[in-house]
Amino acid sequence: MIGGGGAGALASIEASEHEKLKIILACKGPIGQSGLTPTANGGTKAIGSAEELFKDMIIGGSYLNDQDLVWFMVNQIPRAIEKLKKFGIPVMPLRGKSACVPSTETLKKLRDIILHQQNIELLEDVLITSLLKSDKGISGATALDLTTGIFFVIQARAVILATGGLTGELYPHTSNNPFGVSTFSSGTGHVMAYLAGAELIDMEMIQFVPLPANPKCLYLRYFPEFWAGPYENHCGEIIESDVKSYPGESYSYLFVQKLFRELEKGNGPIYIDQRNSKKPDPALMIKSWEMRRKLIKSLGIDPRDNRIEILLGSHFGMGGVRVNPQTETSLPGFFAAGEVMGGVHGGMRLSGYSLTQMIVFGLKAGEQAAAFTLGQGKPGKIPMEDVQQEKARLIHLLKPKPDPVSVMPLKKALRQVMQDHGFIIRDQAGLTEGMKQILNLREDVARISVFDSRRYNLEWIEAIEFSLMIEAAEIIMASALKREESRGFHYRKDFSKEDNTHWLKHTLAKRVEGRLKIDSAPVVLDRMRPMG
Amino acid sequence: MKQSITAHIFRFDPDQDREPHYQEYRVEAEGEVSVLMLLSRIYHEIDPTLGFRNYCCGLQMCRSCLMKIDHKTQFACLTLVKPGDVVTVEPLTYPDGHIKDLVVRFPAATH
Repeated sequence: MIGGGGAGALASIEASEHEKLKIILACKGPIGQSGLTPTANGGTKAIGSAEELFKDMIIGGSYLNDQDLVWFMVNQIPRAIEKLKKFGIPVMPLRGKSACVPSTETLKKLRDIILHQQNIELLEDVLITSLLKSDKGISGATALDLTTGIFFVIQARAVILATGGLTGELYPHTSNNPFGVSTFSSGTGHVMAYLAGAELIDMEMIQFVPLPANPKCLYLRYFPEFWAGPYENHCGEIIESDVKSYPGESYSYLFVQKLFRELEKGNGPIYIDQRNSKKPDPALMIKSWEMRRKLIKSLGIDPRDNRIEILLGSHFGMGGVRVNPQTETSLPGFFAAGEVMGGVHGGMRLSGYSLTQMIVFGLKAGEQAAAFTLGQGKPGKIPMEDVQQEKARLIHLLKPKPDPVSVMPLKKALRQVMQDHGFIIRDQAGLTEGMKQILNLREDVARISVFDSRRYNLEWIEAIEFSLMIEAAEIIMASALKREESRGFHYRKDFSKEDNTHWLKHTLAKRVEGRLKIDSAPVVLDRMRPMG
Repeated sequence: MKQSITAHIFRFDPDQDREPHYQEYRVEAEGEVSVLMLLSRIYHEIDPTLGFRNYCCGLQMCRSCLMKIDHKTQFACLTLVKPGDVVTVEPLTYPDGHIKDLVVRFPAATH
């Protein structure tokens, strides 16, 4: 089990119900103190009929969602919520179709259960660096104990990938880094899967959202009343005062593209100015947050007292590892759940549906991988040369080089390429240029040199992840180049219309003979079709 | 001229050092920053060998950044320092559970 966010923790517990099985759960930080789950404020779509939720998701996702995944998910919600309650997790009604599953409390509870479960071995502060193939499929992973710097191998009869998102490290501005501190959402899980031969679906689909420009103000993004606006340009002209009119509200691609065009016209910066607004709509205010409202006052960032500058940044990856509703990938013994899986949200994720995805598919992956494992004999044989090669790659980063470069400026340069050429509005020329620049940066990877210290060496971790991140960047650009239309969060200036005749298709990224190949496959529309 | 924040940071890598010491860093800043942001800036701009849990949940819930700030247990994400300030930063526990610099293995009670 790779990843200690909600999906990974739930999958481990679910699989551990089979006493005969042993589960090894590896996560790069302590559960509840790493990854993106703790940064979620808990809004979870949990109420409403399956048909209604399905329709919302498909229309929201511009018909690009994998309908089998969505149908499975919306039908499993009641069962998954019951399961959470059984674990002692509070699920409280919120507003509309949402419930609150408080993320940190949930993870604390799940960690307690994991620590008491005899057949789960919890490896915290352990970074998985590659997946290991065998004659039977995926049969293990290479790992680095961050607290000692010791490299080791984990053998397994099944591997579940629940490594979360990919957009945080790839763009200069992101919701993934609260207060401006990184959560290391770097897409390494996506790339490990890709390198092992799995398919990645719709990787061009990245959600961008408006965000406070000052890292200190990022906290405000948790307050629904903040997003109501009004949004103004630098002249004080109102750009938008009715975010509710957009499907998906402030998560809407149409709204984000509107703000982007305003910035392109030179009318930035954009502000949310609530200094003269009437009192916030009580329907938007989360009741139990009085303490948090006091905190924004004491931090000096209350939007009722200050005009808040807004930038656009990355939020969520709709694309990811291609799976079926059983969370099975195309590789035997290899499963994926949570944000790292693709196809659930199509072209746009609606607010509240990522925790639902995490809970439903986390539980399913645990159940499915357990059933698979029980039917297996011994784990497959892993070629030792693959292990040695990976170890050599990690150690090479610590070696002095004749013409050394540091990983941090390379990362900064990669983010700039993504911002310049793979952001909200794209076109062929930009994407091609972006790919070229990524290839240039890739050549620098061999020159990365990190101070040789094995114990909790942050720069080493970043360097290990960077060579995977750069692959993720290339896959996103190449997938975006392939999709010659505009749909959801993918907007092409040179193909500005949604093209249902030719592009009700997924892009599929796969490694073939050591090279990236982008294919496409029709979206199966057997439950719901676009009109006309 | 921008003013600096002075940080005295506990450093100890059991693989490399014989005993703990304090290292002084001066970070130029225009206004208030959180201690966590200050550590992040030191790591990115001055000294990539500094070890700390470079993580923030943003909701004051995860306790990943609990450390001793001016000898008191505080959340580094919420503790603000301003130009001209001098701040001492130490790990939450030492020697028990200490890994490196400001990184500790969290005792069960803080989870």
